[in-house]
Amino acid sequence: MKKILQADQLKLKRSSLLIIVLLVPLLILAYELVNFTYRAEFVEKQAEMFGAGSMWMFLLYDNSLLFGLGCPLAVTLAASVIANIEHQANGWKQTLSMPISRGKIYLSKFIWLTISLFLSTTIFLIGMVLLGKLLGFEGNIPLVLLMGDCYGMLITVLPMMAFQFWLSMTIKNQAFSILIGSISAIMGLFLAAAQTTRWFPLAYPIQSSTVILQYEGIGYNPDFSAYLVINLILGIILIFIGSRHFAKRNVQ
Amino acid sequence: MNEQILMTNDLTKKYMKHTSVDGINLRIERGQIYGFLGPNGAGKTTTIRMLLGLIKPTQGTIKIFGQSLKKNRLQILQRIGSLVESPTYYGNLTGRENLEAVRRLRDLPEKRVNEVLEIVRLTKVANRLTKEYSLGMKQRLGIAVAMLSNPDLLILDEPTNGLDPSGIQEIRELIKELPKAGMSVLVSSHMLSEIDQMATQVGIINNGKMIFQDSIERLRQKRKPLLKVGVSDGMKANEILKERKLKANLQGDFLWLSQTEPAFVSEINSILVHAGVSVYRLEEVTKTLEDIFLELTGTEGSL
Repeated sequence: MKKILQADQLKLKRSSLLIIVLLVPLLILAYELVNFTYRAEFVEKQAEMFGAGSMWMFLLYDNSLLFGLGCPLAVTLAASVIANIEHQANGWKQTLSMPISRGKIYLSKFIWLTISLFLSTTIFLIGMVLLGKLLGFEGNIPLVLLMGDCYGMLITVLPMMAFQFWLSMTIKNQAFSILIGSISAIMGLFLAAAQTTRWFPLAYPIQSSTVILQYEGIGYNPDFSAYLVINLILGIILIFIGSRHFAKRNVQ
Repeated sequence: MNEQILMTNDLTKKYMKHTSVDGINLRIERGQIYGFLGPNGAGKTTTIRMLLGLIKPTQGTIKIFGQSLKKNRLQILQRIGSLVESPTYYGNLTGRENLEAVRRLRDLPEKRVNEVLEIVRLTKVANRLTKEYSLGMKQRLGIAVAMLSNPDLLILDEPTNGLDPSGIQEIRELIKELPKAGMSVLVSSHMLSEIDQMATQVGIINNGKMIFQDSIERLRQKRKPLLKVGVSDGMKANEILKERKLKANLQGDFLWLSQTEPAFVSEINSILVHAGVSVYRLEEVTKTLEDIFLELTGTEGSL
């Protein structure tokens, strides 16, 4: 398995994956930087109104929506880049006629998708800490909350990762999977808005934050652990189904 | 020596109602260069994809190295190198990196990369990105990938596609050398002349059906020369020869006979002239392999 991962690492060389990994967290951080400097007064007022315990909490609340929308898009694009390397190279017939089980080939690429998103969320985490320090937020850095928001997101987008990855791997035309991924990300936004539909796994990334705005103001998200458990299980099931289907496919 | 290395039984592939491969029985023995010949769309690539386990046959079985492909796919693939249709290349990588990726996948020794680069003469351009390669260079890279693992069976689908004449020559010489190391080769092509120059065994496929499978010598025997006789009165001449128990075939104004020895030719001439038929042409005609191929496949014009 290590060898397959190394081979896939080489195939990703000089690809646009790194840009996508950097793009989403940096864009959101750039927005927050502008938000907290140029609109500082308004932001402070709002933070007070929402009863945020600290500016850290407000930052978490403020960017959860953007990150919830941005992360599924990053998933869509990263999955597409990783799968498209083989599509573009005409590579499936070569890679799949190697003496390696198809399940492992599928899994190796999925691991690279996970690694790239892990990098993406880690950059976001570091960026948030730097942003808070730069703007002189008061109080200790709520590292657990920050990490929960970043790596929790990684788990809540797992079903989306599994589905988008399968789509990109099986359908050559990447415009299709990117369209589906973008619509799903936006759908999540709407689904999260209503009381019943917000329990659709698709709506989780939007709500996947350790803090949430309630009647009493910004507080801890009580449903967060439920989201994590549901989507972790769902994600693993989807990965399994995807790899089984991939292994049985005819390669044209 | 006569070890069957590849055997298919009644191999069939159907797409919806269309049958693209119909009950093929391939037989390849160790050390053979098997030329798999057929016009475009005859089912060559579909057959090869089935041999590599890329697509599943609708019907029939495949045995390679005495093992069933269905049950021992990975063990079999371990000993096969392949190049299927248009070459695979990761354009974002150099030629060397392309080979390195495959080397890692197959867990082969590092020195093999340089060896195969040398064999296909890509050493000079090994550090250039493959998206800048010409089609011929990409094709060579594909062949290098196929040979990387030093396989027992090499499957090459149209390996000379896109190569210039000197490249074709090189690859042909390369393929001819392989059986000396105990390798067997399955090489497909739509060009008979190419197969004629390197194969020891030929299988001709048309419309999904195998229409000829034997040694190249057998195919060449079909090329025996014929005697073409031009006479003033074909009917009469035919009657005369029949009386003498000589089998002739009348086609248009010409009589065709199956022997061409000088003594026989002059005898025919003498018989006909003495019987009062004027002979204006005695010609030895050799059928080209192309003619035989066209005869077998029943297709005219472009293949």
